[in-house]
Amino acid sequence: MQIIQPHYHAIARTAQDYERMAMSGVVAVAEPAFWAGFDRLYPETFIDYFRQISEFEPTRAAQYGIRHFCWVAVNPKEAENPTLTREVLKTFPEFFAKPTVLGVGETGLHKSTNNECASLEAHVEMAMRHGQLVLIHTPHLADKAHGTRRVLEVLAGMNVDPERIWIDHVEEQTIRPCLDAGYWVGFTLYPITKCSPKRACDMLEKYGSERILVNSSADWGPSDPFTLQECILEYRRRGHSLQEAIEVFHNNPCRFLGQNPKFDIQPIRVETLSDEPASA
Amino acid sequence: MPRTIGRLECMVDTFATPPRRHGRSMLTAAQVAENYFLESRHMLLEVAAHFDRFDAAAARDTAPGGDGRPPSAAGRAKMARLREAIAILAADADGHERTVKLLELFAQE
Repeated sequence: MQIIQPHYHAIARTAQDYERMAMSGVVAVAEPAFWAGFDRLYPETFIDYFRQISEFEPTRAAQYGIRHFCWVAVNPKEAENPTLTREVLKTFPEFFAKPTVLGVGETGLHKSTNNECASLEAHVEMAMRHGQLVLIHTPHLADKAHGTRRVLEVLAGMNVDPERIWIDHVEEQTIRPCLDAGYWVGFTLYPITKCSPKRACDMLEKYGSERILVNSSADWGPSDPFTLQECILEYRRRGHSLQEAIEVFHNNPCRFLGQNPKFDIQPIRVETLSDEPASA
Repeated sequence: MPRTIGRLECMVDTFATPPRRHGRSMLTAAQVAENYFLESRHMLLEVAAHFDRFDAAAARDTAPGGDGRPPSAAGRAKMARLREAIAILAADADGHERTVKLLELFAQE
């Protein structure tokens, strides 16, 4: 089947991952800007990073027939440097004009500090002002519930279009308030520290597939891009049809990301040929 | 950085070296608690999800439009066996051989 990996840090992965994703049906990836593992010090470091994911990575992905899109943001951990955050934000309009940049992401919260909340608000305001999509990271592990509540509080105080905002890394304790508020949500499948393929299928069965994205967010830490395919296999094993799987793992990314016209991959429908007349 | 052992050279061990006790390098209790916590948290969440999934399926089966059948005796027995296993883990504050107890439990008819 055709798959879209909507949250994938290609810069941290080898070409072999692209090759294997291509062999398993992945047709496109979208790469948010993330924390490099250390706190960047200079705006130019961010600019070169944004250039790498908006100019070079699409060429690397294209070697394997995969379309590559990206987002720009200052990661929540780096938001503790407000001066740097402001300087980097000034460069965003230049990147919004690039052909594969979809919007602002991943912004969000880590420890829900005042600086992080201010940075989140500035990122969302920039995105809304420039008509861009938004991808929001919610905290890990024990910080998740509180951080997600703070994200919703920040957004509730702004004039936003919920349909253009994706709150990622939701789990069983955070999914309902995000869906109820009208946002898109994402399940991120990590081997240990985030959601799992089976739990993702449970939530799809409980909440339906509307406004839900599933991703592997594979990065430089313990992560695996093929947790997405593992989830698809589990979903199909539970009796869900090929079209139902395509709706979740291909068409939903098309519906959300396609709100930016640069993402021009269309939803697809499976049809059988059994009604075709036999040839003479 | 290489260091010399006799006539052999080898790389410095890149893993953190645990303290040597009883002539062997082994983890302390604090290290065991810390190193395996996230993995165990993940596995417990998977078990919790299994119980939630069973309850959701049972509710669907007996709801209008379902197959009308409550969970089979075999299905309920399997879930009960898992609850017994969890009770063994929760109750045994200072015991050992929990793995053996669970294996013996799961080997019962």
